[in-house]
Amino acid sequence: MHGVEFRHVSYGLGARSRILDEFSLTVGAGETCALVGASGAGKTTVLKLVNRLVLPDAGDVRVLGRDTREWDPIRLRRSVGYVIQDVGLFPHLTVADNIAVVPRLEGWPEDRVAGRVRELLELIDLAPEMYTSRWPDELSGGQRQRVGVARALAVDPPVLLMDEPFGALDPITRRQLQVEFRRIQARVAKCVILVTHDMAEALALADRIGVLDEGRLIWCGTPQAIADADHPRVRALVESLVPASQVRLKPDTTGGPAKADTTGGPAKADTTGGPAEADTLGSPAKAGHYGSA
Amino acid sequence: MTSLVRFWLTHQQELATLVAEHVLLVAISTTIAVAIGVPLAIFATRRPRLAAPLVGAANIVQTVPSLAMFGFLLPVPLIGGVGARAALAVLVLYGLLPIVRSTIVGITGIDPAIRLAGVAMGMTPRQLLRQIELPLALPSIVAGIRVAAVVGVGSATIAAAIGAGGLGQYIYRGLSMVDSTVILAGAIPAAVLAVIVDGTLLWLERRLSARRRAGSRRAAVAVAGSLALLVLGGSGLWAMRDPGAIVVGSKNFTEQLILGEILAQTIERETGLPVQRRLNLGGTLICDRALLTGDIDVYVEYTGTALTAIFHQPAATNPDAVFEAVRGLYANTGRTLLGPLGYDNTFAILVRGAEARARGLRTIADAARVAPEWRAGFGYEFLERPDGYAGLARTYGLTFRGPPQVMDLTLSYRALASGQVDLIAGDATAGLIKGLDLFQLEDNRRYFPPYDAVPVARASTLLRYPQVRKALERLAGRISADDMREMNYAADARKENPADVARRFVERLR
Repeated sequence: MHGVEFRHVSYGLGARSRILDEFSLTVGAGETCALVGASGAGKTTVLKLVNRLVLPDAGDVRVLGRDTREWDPIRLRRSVGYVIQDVGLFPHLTVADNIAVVPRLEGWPEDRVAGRVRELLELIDLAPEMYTSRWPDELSGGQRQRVGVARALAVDPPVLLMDEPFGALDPITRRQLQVEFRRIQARVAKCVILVTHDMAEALALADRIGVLDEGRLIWCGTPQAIADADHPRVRALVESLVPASQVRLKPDTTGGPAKADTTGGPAKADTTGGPAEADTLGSPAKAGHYGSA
Repeated sequence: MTSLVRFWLTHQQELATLVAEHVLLVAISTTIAVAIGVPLAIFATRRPRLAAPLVGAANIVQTVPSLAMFGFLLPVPLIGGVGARAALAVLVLYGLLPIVRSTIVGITGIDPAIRLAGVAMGMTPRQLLRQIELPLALPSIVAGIRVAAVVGVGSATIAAAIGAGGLGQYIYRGLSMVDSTVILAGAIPAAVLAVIVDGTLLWLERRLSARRRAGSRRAAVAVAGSLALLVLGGSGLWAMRDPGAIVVGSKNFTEQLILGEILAQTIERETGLPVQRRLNLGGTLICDRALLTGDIDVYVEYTGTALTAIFHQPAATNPDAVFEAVRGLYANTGRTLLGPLGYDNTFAILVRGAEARARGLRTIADAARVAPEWRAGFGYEFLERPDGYAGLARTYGLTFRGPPQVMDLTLSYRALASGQVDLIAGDATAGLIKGLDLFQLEDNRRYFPPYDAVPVARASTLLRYPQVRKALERLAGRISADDMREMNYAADARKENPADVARRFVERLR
């Protein structure tokens, strides 16, 4: 098994509301699975379970066929690339040195490191001769994100975790990077788990989409199938996050298509009144509220 | 200003030594504080519950006045006592707070996303510390070192109080001589030193945060590292100096400096043994403790002071009884009181010489008869002390025209000479008594406790070097109050070097 498998995973048992509840999901090699859901739905926790930043309270997580409890955490983490939300490039290291961190931790000889850095810079479309000795604060946001991806791919790990990788970017750059990501994924064929609250991004990048709500996986299927999903929360999510033009809504939708008051709770006016446009314009959507509470 | 420059020019060599001592004190103490503080702070960031109490404790240490800190440390074995070691201990304690605090701030201030990235990439805690946390915290750590070093330059001036040398020696000497030139001669180089240290470390700090130039960054670290090595090497040499010499101590006022020199030069001349001077120690208790711990071998104490301040006995007035009592107390604790030098540094009730001669005044009792038409001026301390004014007035039935004026002790000599007041209480050996033609009335009813000047030495030293005892006994009874006044006058009023004043006296004795 060269992917990641969650089996009845619960996390945060002691807490008032569980962070993850009976979460089961299998992501195979070469597959990209997007997890969507509100903030606090447990998406980031799913990723942290994979590289053993946290251990499950119940159930088990198997990475490359092995329970994460049995993995040496250091070895596990070096086999799992992680692109984190805020990029987290090391400001005191150049672009090349940032990408080279894990290869050096793994004790690669310097000429192999240099070759790999070059290869990755080409992969993410940054000219090596221009960018190797740049510093992170000399890069644009999009370039930093790309370097973050390159760094995660440096030792060619079989699993890649991406936490809102393109969240903080302007819509144009974001679309560019999404296209680029598809190109890269076509070449490297990893087991990718992508967390996003941007449904459009999930639709654009994923082979499969899982919808998380209050720690539970309430729906899972292909991007094509989601428009036909009849789970009310999934429907609400789709309606609130995706412009009408991108998803064919079923005719019997409650209320008017795009301008419908899909929320209904008080104090949630921010997601109403044209949520669709707002979100594709890329306000990194305070997407805290959709569906009923 | 010209007198200041002249002072520096005539004391070039001494100045260079003091600057070097000062730099070494600061450099060594800061290096040790870094070696202790940075790991301590790293440990605290791993145990967040420890961080607050740790910084709190360091804060408290910082608020203790330096002189009080020396007092606390006096009885502590290994790091206490007097001399460079104790001074270093105090300076290290002072340096810890800024270093610990800035290291904690530097590490905890790192963007959590960056630390998370490191952990998620499979860094071990040690790799995270060395590759991510320390490099990113380095500018902040250096900022803390800068604060510690600058504070250290200031605190190190106080180290002179416990005989650790440094520019504070000039400051203390100047204070005891009431000579602002000498104070400035120490204070100005210390201030310049502080500015240089501050500027250098600021430069280093900026270099380190300028991450554009990895090369210069490495160079800066290399420079800092080799400086630290140099300092440690130097400190090794410094610590090794003068083994097995007889160490002479003294308190920190002019008379004591001269007496210290007299003892030192006498031992040198009579025995040929090497003598190390730890003069200018910050007070009676420091000298006493130094003698007990063996940091010094001999210094001059006053019998009345020993009785009340060191042994906490009630004051007594019979000089012979006091001497015998003190000698016994010293003998019980491994110290030997030698023969009295010959003068009593007690309070002196002074009047103008001309007036005393004209009216035939000899004793305080004589003066009590004419005092009702006089005005008196006393220092604040004399008015308050248990052996001060109240008892004196009772003993002799003294009354004055109006209540006594309160004035600064040093100023009161001149106030008397110029006729603003007619009677003062001064120091029996004050140089100005001679310079201003003042007359000391005899304490014929023995109101004041005796303060006979007596060398006190470690018994073990005298046993090992009987020739030292012989040399010191030669001084017994050889210094009169007049001699001492004259020497004080030469040093205080004529600004002669205490060592030269002492040399003239010792040569005359032979």
